[in-house]
Amino acid sequence: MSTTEDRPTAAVGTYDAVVARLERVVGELESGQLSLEQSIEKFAEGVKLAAEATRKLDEAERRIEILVRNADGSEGEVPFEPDGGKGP
Amino acid sequence: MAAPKPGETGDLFALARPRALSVGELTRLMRAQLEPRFRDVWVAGEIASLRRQSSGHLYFALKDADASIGAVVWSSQARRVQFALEDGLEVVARGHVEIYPPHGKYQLIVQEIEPRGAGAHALLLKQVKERLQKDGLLDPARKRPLPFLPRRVGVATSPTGAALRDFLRVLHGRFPTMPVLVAPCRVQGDGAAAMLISSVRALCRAGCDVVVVTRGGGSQDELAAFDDERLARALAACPVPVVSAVGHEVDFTVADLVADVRAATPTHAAQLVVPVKEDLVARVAALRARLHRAASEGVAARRREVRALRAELADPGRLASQQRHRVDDLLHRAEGVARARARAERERVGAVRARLARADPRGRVRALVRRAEDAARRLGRWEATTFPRERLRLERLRARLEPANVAKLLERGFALVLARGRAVTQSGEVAEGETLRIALARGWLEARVEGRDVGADPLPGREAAAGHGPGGEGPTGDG
Repeated sequence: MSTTEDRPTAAVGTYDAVVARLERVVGELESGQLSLEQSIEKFAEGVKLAAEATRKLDEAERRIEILVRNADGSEGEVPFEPDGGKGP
Repeated sequence: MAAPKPGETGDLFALARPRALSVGELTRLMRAQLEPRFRDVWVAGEIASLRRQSSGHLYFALKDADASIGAVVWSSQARRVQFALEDGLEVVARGHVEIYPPHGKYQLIVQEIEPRGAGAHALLLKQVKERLQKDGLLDPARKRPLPFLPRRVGVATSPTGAALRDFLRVLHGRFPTMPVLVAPCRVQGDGAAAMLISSVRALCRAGCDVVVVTRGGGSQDELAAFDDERLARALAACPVPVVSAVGHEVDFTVADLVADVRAATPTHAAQLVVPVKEDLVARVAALRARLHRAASEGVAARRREVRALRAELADPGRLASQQRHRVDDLLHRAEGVARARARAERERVGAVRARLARADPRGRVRALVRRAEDAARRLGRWEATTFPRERLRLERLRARLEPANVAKLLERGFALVLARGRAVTQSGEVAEGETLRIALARGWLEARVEGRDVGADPLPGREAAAGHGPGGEGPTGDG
């Protein structure tokens, strides 16, 4: 299966931006060139970023839905099972 | 009724006959009428009685229910025909009509020919692409990148097809919790294009951040909906990125050309649309670990620093004790130095004494005494023998020296007279007025010659000087 590397990606996706920022923060902390106050700030920020990234990954609920047209002509969504085969 | 003779008008009611045309003339006239009108025509029909000559020319009849026309494809053109012609094939041919006078036949001379369905479709496709190109919809620059992690994936496809099953399987294999919205539609046949369009629009309205249109492989006819111009324009107008995945590896449908990304198959589309969740989770976990490690290392380093500083900043009691230690230490070292110095001195003295002892002056004294005695002995010998001999020699030398001992003479009253540094023995050696130096027993005088041989000889009894007189030969020159 191909990795994430060979996909065309958006320049700034929300998830990607968060992780990129986290990379930068970790880099700064590892450089050892920050003062104590800055280190504490950066650490806190890093924790927040990591939590947000994880939330984005975990928040999705697996759900497959299919569009249906209701009796009154409006559109709706209902759960869908691929093998069940709700036809149009 | 007899035929009128030449020059006679004949019966008025008899029919006048037009002049007769030759066959060649007739044919020529027909050609002139016919051929210009059909110089470039497209004709649709069915092939019959196809035969290929050894020359390479193709002859066949092009017919439909009403009529038939003979057709020929010259070998030069026949070579270019891309498909196999056969009896019964519906074709559309382009060419011109010719009359062939010797046989009284008219023919369609074919320049291009293609199967009827394909021909129409290919032409249509070409024109669709040209129009889309003109409107800039095929421009690579307008292709949008896909979102790295979409919130919801929309897919327009047949709900019963294998394409959807494959797509979902691979998608959820990579990212199990990715939400998907399916917009069901036909993907071939009548009305498929219109259904696809409304499905795509519905997916955009429902808030998907990427839309996938997909179906499995099929013939060109089956895929025709994906060549529809209106579908292409609807995809181009979609506010979110579109992936076209029509399982038809070799050719690109029009939808493929207009979409932001083209996937070869529904499976490929699933790979393009989502990342692998495990990889992302691992990456975040790794970053978190590094974050914690860096932070705790930072804290540990600072604690060490503080401890070290505090250690230096010790309490006063400790400070005093430290100072005491220092003083003790210094004293100890000082003592050590002094002792070492004393020891060194003692050693020196000892060394000197040893040397002294080694030197043993008594021995030396004895040696000196011996040398003295020895020297005395030698001296005695010398005195006994050499000394007298030498004294004698000395006496003899002194004796010889005696006559030269002027001092004795001077004591007796004689004087040494010097002129020009030389002793004067004769009066003739000096001139009058010349300066003389006279050495006495003690001291000396400076005198001037007043006269020579004047008056009485102070030392009588001597011989007279030879050849002298006042003004006799005297030394010349200055004194």
